[in-house]
Amino acid sequence: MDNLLSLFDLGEAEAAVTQAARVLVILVLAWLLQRVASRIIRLFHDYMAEDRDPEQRTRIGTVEQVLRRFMTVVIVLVAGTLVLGELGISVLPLLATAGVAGIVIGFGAQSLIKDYFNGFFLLVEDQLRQGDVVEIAGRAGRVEELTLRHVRLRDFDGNVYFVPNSEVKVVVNRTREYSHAVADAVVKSAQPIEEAYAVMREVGRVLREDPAFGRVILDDVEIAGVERWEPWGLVLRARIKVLPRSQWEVRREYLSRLKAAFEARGIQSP
Amino acid sequence: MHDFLSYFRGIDPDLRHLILQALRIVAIVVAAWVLHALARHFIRAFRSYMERRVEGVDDLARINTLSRVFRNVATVVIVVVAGMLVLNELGISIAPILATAGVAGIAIGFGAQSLIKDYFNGMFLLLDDQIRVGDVVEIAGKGGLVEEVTLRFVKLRDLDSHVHFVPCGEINVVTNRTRTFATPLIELRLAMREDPDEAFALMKEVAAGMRAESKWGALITDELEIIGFDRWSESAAVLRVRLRVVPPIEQWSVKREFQKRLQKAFAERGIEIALPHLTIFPGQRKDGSAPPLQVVARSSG
Repeated sequence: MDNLLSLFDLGEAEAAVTQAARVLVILVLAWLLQRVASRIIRLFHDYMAEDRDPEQRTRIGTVEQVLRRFMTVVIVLVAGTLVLGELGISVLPLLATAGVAGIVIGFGAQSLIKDYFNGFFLLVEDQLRQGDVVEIAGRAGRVEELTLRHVRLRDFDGNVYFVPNSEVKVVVNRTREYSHAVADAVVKSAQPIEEAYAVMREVGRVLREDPAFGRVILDDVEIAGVERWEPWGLVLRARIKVLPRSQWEVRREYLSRLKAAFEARGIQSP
Repeated sequence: MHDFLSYFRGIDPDLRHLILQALRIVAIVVAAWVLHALARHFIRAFRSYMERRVEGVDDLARINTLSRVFRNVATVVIVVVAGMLVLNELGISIAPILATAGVAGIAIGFGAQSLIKDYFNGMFLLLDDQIRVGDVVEIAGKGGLVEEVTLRFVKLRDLDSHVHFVPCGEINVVTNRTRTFATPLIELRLAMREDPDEAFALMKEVAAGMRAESKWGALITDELEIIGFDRWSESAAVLRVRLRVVPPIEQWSVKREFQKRLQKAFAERGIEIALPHLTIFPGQRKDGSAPPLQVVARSSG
């Protein structure tokens, strides 16, 4: 030990000790920061996971993992460069190279980064869920999968759409809380409209009493009225408040019953 | 030990500095080598992970391409950074080099923006498994059968045999028409006076007939799904049904065969498919009587 110390003069030894102390402080600070960040991410996760279904929880878990990893990488990188700087190795070349690479990649990966940001906010704001029927970026379908990078939809024909989250601007969610089955019936112009309305109400009432459909129908038929005048007849519009995702089924059943009822009452359709 | 230390202490400070410098350079090179080995290890792990997820020779070829690209990028980055550090140690100022590289980087970054975007998008198309060779897809407004996927472009061939080369950077939304299963939708306009239930029963019969044949039965995996009376259209009731087809690439042949048979069956039973028809109404006077509707028939020649 004596020998080792005598290797340097006292000034050198002092410098070495201060250097070691500085490195130690940096490492301790990095460790503390890591703990605090991890704590904050956990709090965020708990806050987000409240009142969500299991599928969404797993997704929030994914986000949490991504955040945690991102934090670790940033802290390790910054602490590493600081330590290297303390040890007298110049970090300038590293930073400059990273800067150039960052510019080149940043240009190309612009939309990719946008994907991740948008994906994160879609999740936080709860605009889409798996199983919802939505319209995004001009494509409509049922949401099969949500990731931080894209939304996978399947439409009625079985086509699968991969919509990158950066393309998602306005989200039309057709299955939120409740839906309306909008049914357009067409009768000849000269038919008595009030009578047609009565039949429409009656068919709606019978439909609501049917156990197969009564479960999903939330309210009586609402007659919107004469929607428009077409060359072939009058379009009469009615709507029924239903549980989400059953509006199409209810509309079809209602229309098919209405057609039979109009025929039975002698109300003519074109 | 003692001898060595005293020798070290004894040597001239300039030489001591030189030795330390050499040691630092060796340390940098060793660190770079370790980092490179680590990167290779990670890339190999990624590759075996991807290989477990996919099947087929084409996909394997693509994964090989991808891991080769990753390996090259890792090597270039590590060599460049280590080289910079070594130059710095040797006392050669790297500031001019970096400034030049920075300017070049910005210039190339602007010019090669779409190229870099191609590679990034291509990588994620592969990672997310959105497009496979043999799929029928619609990307960037072009539809067709996928013949080749590289990191830079996707090659499509459409029904006219036109070949489209779509750069991966242009691909936003991918419409894949052949993923796991297909449900071709058939819309039929039925004359208003016909009974929809009768039409549905007939369609079910036709579908059951197709399923009974071994050729079509192997492709149609489920009974005909009656979607129902979809809407009231001009002189027609629009009926919708769906078939479920696996493998999805056969959806068009199944749909066409089904429609052909449907046409025959409807003709045989005399169920009318809606034609647009016109009721001519001459109007009505206030007293309820109708004015005469004069029809003039002329024969030419």
